[in-house]
Amino acid sequence: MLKFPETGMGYQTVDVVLKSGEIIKDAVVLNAEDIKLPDEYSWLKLENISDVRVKK
Amino acid sequence: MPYKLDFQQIRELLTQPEAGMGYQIVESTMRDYDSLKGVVLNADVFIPFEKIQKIMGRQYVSYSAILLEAEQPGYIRKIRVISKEIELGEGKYFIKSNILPALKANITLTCKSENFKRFSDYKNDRRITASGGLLAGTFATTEEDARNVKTGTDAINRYAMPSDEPAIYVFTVKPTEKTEIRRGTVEPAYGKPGGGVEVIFVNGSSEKTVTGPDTIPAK
Repeated sequence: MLKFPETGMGYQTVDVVLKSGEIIKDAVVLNAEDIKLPDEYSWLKLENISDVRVKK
Repeated sequence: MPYKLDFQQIRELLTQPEAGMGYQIVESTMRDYDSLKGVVLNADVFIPFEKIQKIMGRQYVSYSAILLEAEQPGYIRKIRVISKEIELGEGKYFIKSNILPALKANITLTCKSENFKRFSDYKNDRRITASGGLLAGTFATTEEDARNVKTGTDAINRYAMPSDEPAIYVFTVKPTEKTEIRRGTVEPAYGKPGGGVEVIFVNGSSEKTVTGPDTIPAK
């Protein structure tokens, strides 16, 4: 994440690609370490994620 | 038909930045739940997009005439400021602001002794390198704009930060002269008004240019 520019002060927006093929669009990553996801994805674990794409 | 806003809606719009002198671009949820985009003049009267040409394109048009023909408050359930990039006849009927978000601004160079501030809710802000520089593409604000921020809550509102945690840690950036930056204005986002100055350090800043953090009150 730190190789990519920020979207605003202290955060980056990303698309999260799940192993199921579903894409969660425009999620927010804070300080390159914490991701904010909609409540319906509260079940999500790291192993369910196949890719995180930083939006430019 | 233009629509007058109620007192609460006027107060809410006054906390948010203009798109140009005297107007804001908004999306309104009407009484019948129809969603309309348009402009609000003087934080006071809403003109839907499809009516702009009819209302503003007349030969003699005054603000008081628009107010006279406007529907009384009560037709609008909800109103929010949206992106400035929707084309609503700017240049013809409205003078569009030349203030852009930093991502769309041209690259300029810092001056000698120009200082910047970065607000964060993380003491271990990862955009600051171990050698005291900024990574490429890191945001900050001018020292002058930072004077408007007294608390961490002020910071997340002024810089439309997505975190709900107050950004209480303040880093000071003293870049070398002629560091490449893009300078712009924060757009509303995440339910926060924005309006502050934002600066992107295109290639970051060199070693030993960042100090801190200092701490400000949360509220």
